[in-house]
Amino acid sequence: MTGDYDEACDCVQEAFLSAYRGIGKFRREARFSTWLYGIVVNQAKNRLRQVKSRRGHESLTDMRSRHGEALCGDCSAAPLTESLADQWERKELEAKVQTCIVGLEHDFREVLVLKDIQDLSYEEIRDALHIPVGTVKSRLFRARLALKDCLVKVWGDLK
Amino acid sequence: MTCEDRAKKLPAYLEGELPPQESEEFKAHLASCETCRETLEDLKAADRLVRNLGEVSPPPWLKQQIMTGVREAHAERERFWRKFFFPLHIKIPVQAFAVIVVSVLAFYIYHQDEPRMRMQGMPLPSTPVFEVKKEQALPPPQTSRSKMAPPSSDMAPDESLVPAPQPDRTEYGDVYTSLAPSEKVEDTMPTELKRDAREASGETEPALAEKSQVPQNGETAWPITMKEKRAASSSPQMITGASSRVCEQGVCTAGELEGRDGEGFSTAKDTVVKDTQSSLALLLAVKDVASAGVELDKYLATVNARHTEITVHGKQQAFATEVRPHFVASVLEKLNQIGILADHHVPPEFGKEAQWVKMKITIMPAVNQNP
Repeated sequence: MTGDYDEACDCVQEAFLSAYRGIGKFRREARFSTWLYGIVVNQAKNRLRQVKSRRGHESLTDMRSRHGEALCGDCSAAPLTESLADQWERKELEAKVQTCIVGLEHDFREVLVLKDIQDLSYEEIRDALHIPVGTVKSRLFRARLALKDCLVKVWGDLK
Repeated sequence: MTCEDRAKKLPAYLEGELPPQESEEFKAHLASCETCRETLEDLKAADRLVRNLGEVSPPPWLKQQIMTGVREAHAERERFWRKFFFPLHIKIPVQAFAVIVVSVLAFYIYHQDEPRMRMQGMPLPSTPVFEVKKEQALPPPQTSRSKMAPPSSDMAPDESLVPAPQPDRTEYGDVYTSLAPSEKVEDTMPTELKRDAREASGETEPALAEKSQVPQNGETAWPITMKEKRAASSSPQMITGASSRVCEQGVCTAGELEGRDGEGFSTAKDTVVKDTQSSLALLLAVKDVASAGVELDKYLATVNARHTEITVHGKQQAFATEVRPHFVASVLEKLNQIGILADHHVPPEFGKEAQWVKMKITIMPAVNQNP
């Protein structure tokens, strides 16, 4: 969501602390995890706003390019059977995917991350982001199209 | 619909969100359109790539750091509450102090608003605003209606005329420091007052009686002695003396008249006098004359008083009215609530023989206004 591993860690930490402080505001209208997702997303949004103002004109894409390697430094999904070349190619592709995700507008990115990466349902996303399901779907479809266009552009053939 | 338009709807088609008819149409088109099929395949591949992204593991220190932060937040919150509520040696003084502050504040606000509350007719306790000893100096009744000697700022007491200070005078007694000697006072008094004064002084103080003038008419007189008239015609700051007395048919039954050398000077201790014509003259000392006047006026209306006349003399107000005899006691009680009523003794049977009892109530400020 933030495009930076350290920033993401800080975000998670702040989100947990916020959740602890604001536990009284949790009204059990949604699942606890959904409520927590909402806090994390808000934290990420605030964090990005701070980063933007701090780094001035530096674009998120540039930032992602610089931290791209770090993002996948702890990726543990690579099968052990893969050859080094395959692992390198896979890492490269994931880095490109991350770059494209970070390049999306925040409203689209948060929906895409919550739905396609975190695998939340539409209703859970609605509760976490406090937006209607129709808006969730609309943003998700546009985000997928934009991501596909970006990947085709940076990677070529996706098949 | 062009392929470009269809491409925008492909994610919805993939998700099964299109209406059945449109979905069938899409299916048919995809079978024949290579471009759209490739776009669909790219979309599926991108979706697959995103879903297959490797899970990012948190660093091992993150959990520990979060828990440390949570503990710190918990300790901070607990410290805050403990600081105020848990140690008894802090809690009890803080709460006691809070109670005292609230009490003092409430008392202060109550007394600040008291004049306004009186004006609005809100119920007030009968306790006067400030305590006055019985022996304390109080201003005599202000009986002159029209020609009141104006208060002057240079009223330094003349040593030869001012009586010795009362030993038991309280702080309020200092307000009324002395009585200014004035032979002219008599001239400024209404005729009926003079006559009444003559009657009163004729048996008690011949010297005064000699000085008194014969009344010019036979109007009903306000019951007041010569001494009172002299005191009344002076400013409130020039009055001394505080005891009370009731005179009936010119004979004082309580208290004593005090005078000096027949020059018309006397200490004004008499505040209530009753004569054969059922009249009362009363003196009321209040903090706020205006509000007290309003309240008294309202009350007089409730007891069906008649012929009520209000005369304002500077900071004083004089009420002349007539009430039914059975209301006299309640009026006196009301006056006691409004302010400090100079000591008075009214016999229970007072005025029963009359249909109406005349009352003259003079309201004057209870604090020294002189610079």
